[in-house]
Amino acid sequence: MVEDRYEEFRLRVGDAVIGLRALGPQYVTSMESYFQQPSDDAEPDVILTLSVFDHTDQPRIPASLYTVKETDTGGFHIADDLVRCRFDPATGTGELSVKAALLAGRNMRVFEQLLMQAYHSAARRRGLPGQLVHSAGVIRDGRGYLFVGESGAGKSTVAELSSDHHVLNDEIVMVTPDLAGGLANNLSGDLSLRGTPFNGFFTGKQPGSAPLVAIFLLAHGPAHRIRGVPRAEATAQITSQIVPPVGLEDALDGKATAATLETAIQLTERVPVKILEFRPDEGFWTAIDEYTRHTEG
Amino acid sequence: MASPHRIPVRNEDILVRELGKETVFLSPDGRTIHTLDEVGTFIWAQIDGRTDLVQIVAEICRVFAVTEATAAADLDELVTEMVHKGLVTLQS
Repeated sequence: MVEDRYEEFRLRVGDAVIGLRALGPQYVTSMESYFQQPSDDAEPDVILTLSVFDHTDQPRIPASLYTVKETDTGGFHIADDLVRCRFDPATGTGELSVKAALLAGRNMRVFEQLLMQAYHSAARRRGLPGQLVHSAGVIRDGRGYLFVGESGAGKSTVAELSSDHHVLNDEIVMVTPDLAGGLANNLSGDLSLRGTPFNGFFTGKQPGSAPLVAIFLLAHGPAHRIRGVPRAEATAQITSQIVPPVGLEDALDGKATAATLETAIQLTERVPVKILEFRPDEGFWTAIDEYTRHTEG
Repeated sequence: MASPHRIPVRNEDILVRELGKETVFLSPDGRTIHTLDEVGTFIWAQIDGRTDLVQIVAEICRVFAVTEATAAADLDELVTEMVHKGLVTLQS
């Protein structure tokens, strides 16, 4: 008889590493397959011991694990124990219990929100400045382009239509300063895009990074067109797509939202933001190339 | 329509950031972002807790060269919206 033993999968998100320990054979292999990256060699900044519970009920899976998160002393719980977590930010260790339904099929994308929170706990421990943004990130000719939009705006479509280029991600991209040693929530220095392991619908994502040269707010349209947008409106739209800097030890509160607003203000101050109206064909790159030539010329 | 002699007062609990001639606000519950264009930002700047709506209309007419009726209608619409969003209150 072979007994299950704990295995640890180390998920790299930017410069942070999250250790996820769980019982079971093939655990690390399955996580490597899901996240399309090998378990990292670096020591984790946060370690979570994961317990998965079978259940007979059919729990409702909320779209957001932020808005329904209820903190208590030393941890939090979500949606009638769909998730229960104890976490010590001082040691960076915790226990995470989830119902099996949260790890089934597309629900894994909801589970990933817990790992985004683990990333923010790790980033805080290390003083890392990277911000996660709901967006698609593409590198073309060494330039990084960020395509921002809510669900259904076309992030995955942009990624699919950019498969001849270097697609970092179609769901969550990291924006980070080029300069090392920045403070959390302070995007000082030139900005770069960086891929993350989080999953959207596009299956051809590749790790990498590039200087961030433009942010496009996605809008469906009858033709490909790039047009200006008032800065306040751009700031509001980007704010709503920044993953709030909520760690495992935090609740989503006004302070977190204020931090996302400040981040969006920095982005709109430092990077050109335009609206990209597009239809689902790769012709939008012609509009972007013309825009790039115009701005660099 | 708001009484013209009422005084709009800013909600001090909201986060306000001016971006050049535009403004963004974080709602009192911290969950919604509101924006103001150039004219709205100008009006926001007039809301100091002492100036009433009549005085603000006069200032809009002076700066933007619009009729008093247009200025009053625009101000009424904006202030009503701001009150609805919890950004300002109206005091007598």
